[in-house]
Amino acid sequence: MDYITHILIIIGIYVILAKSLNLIMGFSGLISVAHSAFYGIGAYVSALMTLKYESSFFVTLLCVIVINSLLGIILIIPSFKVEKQYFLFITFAFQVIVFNTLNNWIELTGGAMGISGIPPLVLINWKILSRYEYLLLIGVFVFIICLVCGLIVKSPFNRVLKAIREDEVLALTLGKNIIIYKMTIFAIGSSIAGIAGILYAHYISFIDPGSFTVMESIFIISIVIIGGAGSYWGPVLGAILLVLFPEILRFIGFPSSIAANLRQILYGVLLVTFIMWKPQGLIGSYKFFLRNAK
Amino acid sequence: MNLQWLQVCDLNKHYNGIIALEDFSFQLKRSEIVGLIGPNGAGKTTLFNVLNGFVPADSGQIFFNNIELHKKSAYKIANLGVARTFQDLRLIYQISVLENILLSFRNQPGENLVNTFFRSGLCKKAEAKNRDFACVTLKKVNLIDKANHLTSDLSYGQQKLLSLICCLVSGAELLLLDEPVAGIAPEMTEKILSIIKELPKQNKSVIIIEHNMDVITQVCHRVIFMESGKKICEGTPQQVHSNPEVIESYIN
Amino acid sequence: MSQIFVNTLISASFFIVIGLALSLIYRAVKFFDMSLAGIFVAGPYCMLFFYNSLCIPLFFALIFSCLLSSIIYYVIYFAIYKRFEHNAHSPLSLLLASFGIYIILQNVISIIFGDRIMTIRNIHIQEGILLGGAMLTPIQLIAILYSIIFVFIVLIIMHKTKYGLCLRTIGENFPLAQSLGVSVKKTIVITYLTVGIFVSLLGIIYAYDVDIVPTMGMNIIMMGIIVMIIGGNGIMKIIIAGIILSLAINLGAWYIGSEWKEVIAFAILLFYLLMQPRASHKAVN
Repeated sequence: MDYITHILIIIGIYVILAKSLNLIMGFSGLISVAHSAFYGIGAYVSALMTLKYESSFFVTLLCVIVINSLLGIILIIPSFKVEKQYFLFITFAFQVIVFNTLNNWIELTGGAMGISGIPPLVLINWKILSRYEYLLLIGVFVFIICLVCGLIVKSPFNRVLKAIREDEVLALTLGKNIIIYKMTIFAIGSSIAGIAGILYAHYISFIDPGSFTVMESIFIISIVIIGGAGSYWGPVLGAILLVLFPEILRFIGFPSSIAANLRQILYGVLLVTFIMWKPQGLIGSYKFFLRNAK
Repeated sequence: MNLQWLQVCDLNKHYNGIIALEDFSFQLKRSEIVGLIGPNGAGKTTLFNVLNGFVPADSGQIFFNNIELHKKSAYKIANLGVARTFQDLRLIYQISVLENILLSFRNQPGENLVNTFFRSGLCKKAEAKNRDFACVTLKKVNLIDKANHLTSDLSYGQQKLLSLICCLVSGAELLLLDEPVAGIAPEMTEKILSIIKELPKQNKSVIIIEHNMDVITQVCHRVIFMESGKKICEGTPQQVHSNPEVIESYIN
Repeated sequence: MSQIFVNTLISASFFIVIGLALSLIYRAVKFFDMSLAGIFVAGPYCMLFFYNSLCIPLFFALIFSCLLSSIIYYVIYFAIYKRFEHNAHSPLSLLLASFGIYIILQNVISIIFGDRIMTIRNIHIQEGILLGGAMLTPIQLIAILYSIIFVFIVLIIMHKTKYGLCLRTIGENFPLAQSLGVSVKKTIVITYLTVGIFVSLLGIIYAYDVDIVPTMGMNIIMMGIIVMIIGGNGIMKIIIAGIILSLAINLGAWYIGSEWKEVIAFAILLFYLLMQPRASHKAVN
């Protein structure tokens, strides 16, 4: 039962990550490998603030949102000048810089040893200690974020995002200031990823840079693509599948030495297969990446 | 100087030594349809790109409604009342026909996320109003049954019609149409041309790039002939058609 | 101080070869192929198999390793990228897919050979040469020479053969490339095979200098990407970019520590991209 709760919590965290990346990638077409960097920033900021200043949950939440939004906006600025492939490299650069900073700035982040002993979250008077309480908290956040995404998805704002995704030139011709749209959605998506980081840090109570690598970003991208980029439930389905599948493999009993590698191969195969043969994902309808079919 | 509604003065643009526009000037009044003709590479699309704000001219001025357009960004120019279609037909293909039209409305409150979250009533009202207008427009052109179809499902002619409708719905007063009827069947051509002919009555002006002289003669009040970035001659369709320089250019 | 100069030359050699290799592939298929990182790693691991395990003589082991790696690379192209016409998939999707392929390759290597750092050097420690106060091992010298030779080979092929002409035209003008009398498909195949050989060989050289670990491919490839982006399209530009990048990294490493090398490299990339003049949109025909 404990194990199932743990899995559900992990799925919940990845749903939050995938949904936020879906806003950025699925609806706006901005492929970002920096999502795990924002995830990590959220985790580390919260861990450090709670440990050093005993700040409350809402203060850390606010800080993470502000920091990630600002960083996100800064990253978007050059995207206006370059094509989407180059934006991917910009996010790659950001991801590597963040990872290396977390790994090498030992005085601040503890380096590769990470930060341990992160205290549990306290919401006003409610100290979240047990695993079930945590599951409840995650559930609440998933619900709120799904609501927020739902509002965004049905709005005319999202329509413009879809236009930007497919044809920026046309979007400009229609009078849309595309850079503001990109900044807004990237700031929102990155902030939500930071929130997932906060939840993760206080749940596991120990974080290290190894959880926030490029591969982690690509994993989240895989979830979004396989589930269905640009669809509402796609990221949820993708998260459930991609978190559960390796656990099933573990039960089948592969030797643990190669289990991690096999899992990565599985993700790689799925990623390639879906991009090349089923770009709309399992339940999506947007044929991601394909050039305009005229 | 008493400026015309659209006044273009001495535009120059070159790309790596290739001259796309050279001392190009012209003017346009409201409710006028002007045709822009000339051989390939004459600079017609470049002129549109400059008017639209996609490409900055090297020198020259553009005044639209007494506002200087030169160096303004494309989306700002669009919001000032300029709409455009593209030679290679740009639409958002992976959304529905209706959504393409809804995209084209200017000043939608729902496009601002703050409004979406905090003034949802306002957004819903505006969206409903736009939706109604879009449906009415689609009915007028007999495309209403395709409203919820993917835009990629439309025929080429229907897509061209759709891109014209998007321009209309935007409320733009100046329409830049790049080959609006090229490559489509006569029926649809008629439909599109009849819509274009009505535009002056709504106080709108149009600049059309076309290669088909019949179309030009049917629809345009005035024609400008361009070659190598320069304005060679200007006048009524008949005048331009019988101009010796123009004829020579077509022979060559 | 002169050690920095020597280190700069060494790293620059690697960066330039990878950058050139990537740009050749880019000309052929018009996207950044990340799976090349997997080929870079495959080379030394094949050597581990052929030379260290099977004890095949060095020369033949080298040939087998490079050939095998190159064939793997071609198979990747054939099985995956080629299936989709030039225009059906955007470069972005192919780029992402190539990441996926790299992940598969790297983990397959991990499964076969394990995740630990391994060495393929022979037992005798390489004696370095003293060059004006700086140490330069023989293998590092080989690396520098290799890069010079590679640059020459690329220059000759690109400018003196019809395959090179075809490759240069594919990017600019596809229909023109098709009419040049050399099959475009053949050109792409040859490019893939050739690049595969040279990059896997580079990987082997790298492995003789520094120990190998399955994850090392991505770092090097990213340096190549940075060089390609900063350098642009010309061979000379890539060389200069490689030298500048290498100099910046080595200088920076000297002053603030070598663990920050990647950060310096990517900060340079970010800075470069941020400083770009505003690109005009492709509304221009």
